Amino acid sequence: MKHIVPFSLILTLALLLQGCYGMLPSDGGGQIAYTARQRYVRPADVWLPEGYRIEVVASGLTFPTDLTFDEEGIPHVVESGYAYGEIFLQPKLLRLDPSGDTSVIYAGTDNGPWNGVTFSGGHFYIAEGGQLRGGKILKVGKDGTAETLVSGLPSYGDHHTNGPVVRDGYVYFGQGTATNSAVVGVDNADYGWLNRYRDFHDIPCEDITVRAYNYTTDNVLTEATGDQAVTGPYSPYNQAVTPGELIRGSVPCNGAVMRLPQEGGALEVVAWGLRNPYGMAFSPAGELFVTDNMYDVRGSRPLWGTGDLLWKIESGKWYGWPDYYKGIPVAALEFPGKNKPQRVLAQDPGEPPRPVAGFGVHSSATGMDFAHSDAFGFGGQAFVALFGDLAPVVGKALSPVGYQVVRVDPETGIVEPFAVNRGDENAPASRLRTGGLERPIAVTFGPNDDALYVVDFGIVTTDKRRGAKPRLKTGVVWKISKEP
Amino acid sequence: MNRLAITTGCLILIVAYLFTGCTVPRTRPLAEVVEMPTEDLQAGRIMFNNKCGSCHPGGRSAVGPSIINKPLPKFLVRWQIRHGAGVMPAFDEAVLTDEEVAQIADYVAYLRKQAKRSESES
Repeated sequence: MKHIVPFSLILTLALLLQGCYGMLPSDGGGQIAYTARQRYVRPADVWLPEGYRIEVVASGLTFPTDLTFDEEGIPHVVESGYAYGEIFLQPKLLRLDPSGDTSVIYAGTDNGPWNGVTFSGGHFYIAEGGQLRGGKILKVGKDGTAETLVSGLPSYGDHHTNGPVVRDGYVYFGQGTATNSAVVGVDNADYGWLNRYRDFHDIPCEDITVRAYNYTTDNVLTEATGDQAVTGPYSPYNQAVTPGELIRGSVPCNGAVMRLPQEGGALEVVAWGLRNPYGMAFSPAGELFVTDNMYDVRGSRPLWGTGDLLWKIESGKWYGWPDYYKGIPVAALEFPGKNKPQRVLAQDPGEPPRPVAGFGVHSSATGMDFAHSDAFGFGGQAFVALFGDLAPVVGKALSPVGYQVVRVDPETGIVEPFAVNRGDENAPASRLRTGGLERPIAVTFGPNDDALYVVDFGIVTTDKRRGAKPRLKTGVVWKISKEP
Repeated sequence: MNRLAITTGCLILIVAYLFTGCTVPRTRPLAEVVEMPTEDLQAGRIMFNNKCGSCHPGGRSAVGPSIINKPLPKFLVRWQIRHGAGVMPAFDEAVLTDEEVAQIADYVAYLRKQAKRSESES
């Protein structure tokens, strides 16, 4: 009994001193002074489970984001053409020759980012992010002829058009949200798009009603000092909402998985209430899974401590954005030193489900694929590329998060590293000063399921003042195989 | 038990505990396929992935500090899970049963042993 008093004192003291989290600086993987002219690549710097080896297929690419194989088994990669940091280039579909050389099959305009590509029925299907003129799904022949299956997707904001995957005659794709958590704010001006599209905001897939919770910020769209903007959820910047205001849903919408026939046709919503459904793949059982990049600690309605998620998509379901995380109301989440976030919806459009698995906060879970057989090992498991944090832009990271390929057991939700850099800490190669992985963004199994191709976006450094700084010609395609 | 022993023990606990929040020591990453030796550890692994992995992926430092590179006694791990501290939220009985909390604490101890072994091998 006499031990209770000293033990209580210890715990009290410990509690008082735990406040030091707020004093620790962010130390994300991109927060480095990178000056090298060329990226150094060395497969031996990547740690894999025993019995696997890794090699370089192509290097010197600029912002590669995805890879697919044509019917002859020839790999093709897309270069994004856009990266955070407001870099606008020409997106490209490239054929990768065995020598590592590339040839251009089709080039777009400055409406990237091209976030994904898949090949089906003799055509490439490309998700055009549409930062300047709206998202599109493109259908491109091997001869370079292209048609637009759908355009005008709401991609002018923070997140873009993602995917795609093809199944049973339909092209499935993801459409990210305009904002972090449904409120247009100063962070969107920092990203660059608010100055271009002053009225752009999130569009729900169905009618919703919102609570009258408006957010006041400095008005970044006027020169006048002291001018303030009051903005409500699902509304243009500096437009407030009223209690119970009805926000009309429409299609196309934000934060959704949608689909349309491979030959073109009407758009359908498959699921909504997602934030940035980026990677997509069908499991061996034919179920659709997506990775979803969750809330950041930025903007008018920041949310803290929400790691990225892996969802199994059920048709017609609402997944909880912007009022839930992992099926839990965001109003129940802690935010160190700040008030808890307020919910914005007056009524939930449905009951959000629980995710299949969760990833590290800010790890940026991006492309994914399933091992459809045991040819590679880990049959039935999902492989997911973790692009890595963009701290401090998206929030604080005490250490680098992501920068690896993980495998996920969809039955248990267990996430384990599969390809990760060797070194004293988990970090991108540029920080470790090695030749390993930088920012894995997509994973695709080869035609016989016997090799996993990893698309590595390349070097992106970050700082609070200038945001993201991506480096040209640092992208790599890796190939991981089982040792004979 | 004399008073000096109790005080010394308490000081060690304070230092160990404070290390969870005020420093960010790194831990070597690993890509190793590990089969859990017991069903309880496997249950702890699943629970840890679902409840703790967002901030401490693989037990390592990320948004939260590493929790597998310091000699935290299991009872303190259990206490921290139940009560939270600093920026870590508390997980009450509605979220995790006592058995599940104990399984997580056992899994964290197991991860710590694995990390130590890896450090000594490399």
